[in-house]
Amino acid sequence: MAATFAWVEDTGTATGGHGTTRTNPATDANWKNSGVVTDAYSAYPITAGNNSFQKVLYGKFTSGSFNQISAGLFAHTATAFADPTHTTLKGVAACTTAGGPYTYVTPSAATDANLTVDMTAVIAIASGVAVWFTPTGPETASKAATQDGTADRYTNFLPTQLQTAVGIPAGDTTQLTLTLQYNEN
Amino acid sequence: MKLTKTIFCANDQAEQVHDLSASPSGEVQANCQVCGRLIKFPAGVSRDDFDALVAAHKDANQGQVTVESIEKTLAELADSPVKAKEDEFNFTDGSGIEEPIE
Repeated sequence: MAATFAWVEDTGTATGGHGTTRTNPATDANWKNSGVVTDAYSAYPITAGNNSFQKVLYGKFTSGSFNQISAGLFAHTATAFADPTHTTLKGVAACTTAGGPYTYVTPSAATDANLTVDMTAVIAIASGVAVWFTPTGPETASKAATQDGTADRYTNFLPTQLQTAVGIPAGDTTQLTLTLQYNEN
Repeated sequence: MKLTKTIFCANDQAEQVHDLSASPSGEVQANCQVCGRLIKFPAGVSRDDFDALVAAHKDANQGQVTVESIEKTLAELADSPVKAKEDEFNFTDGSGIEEPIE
């Protein structure tokens, strides 16, 4: 039996290490000039030269559907940006003993210096950033590369931000594939 | 005067000279002189903060294996690509199409 998985999104003002609005399951992964989940991206375009608000997603695994979850990786794995010299996708750094998890901040269009990984290029999932798992929520400082299935488990936050340069053609970006890979048993 | 800074380029996987400029929102934008890719840094950072962010950027992106680089390596390893044969059955003029048997 496969682990029951859902993408969840946090938005809104940071409180207690997470967003005030938690959307489960997440409805989309569109980058836009707004942090409101229900705002259509087409109504909140990113002006050339500016950035999107951070899109703060994470994964939730429902207890009872797995024994153990481990070996998480996150990467941009398919479809290159049409104009990569005017587009940069930034993402969360690897979760390690010394680094991470990402600390939630109220999303905004300002460059998020904590998103250090350049996810613009399509890469092999094996060279994606390490994703660790938390016992009670993505905002929890407690983290481990492996978690058992005795309770609901969560990935660390997996935020991304689309950054653009002046000169980017108007219109939607290419639709990308971002992959979260994990082992379950 | 052009302002530059040597920064690790995630795309090129090498230290490259980047042109520095201000984004429309006043943030620091760095464009690689080799591949043109951009990196942004927050507005109002001090020199020390900037150097720390540049170092963090390198740590976070060194070793990325792009699919493009994998494909390039495979192309270098492979024998010369086999030229596709001319289409032996060119039906565009209708000459290769048999009439149905009555």
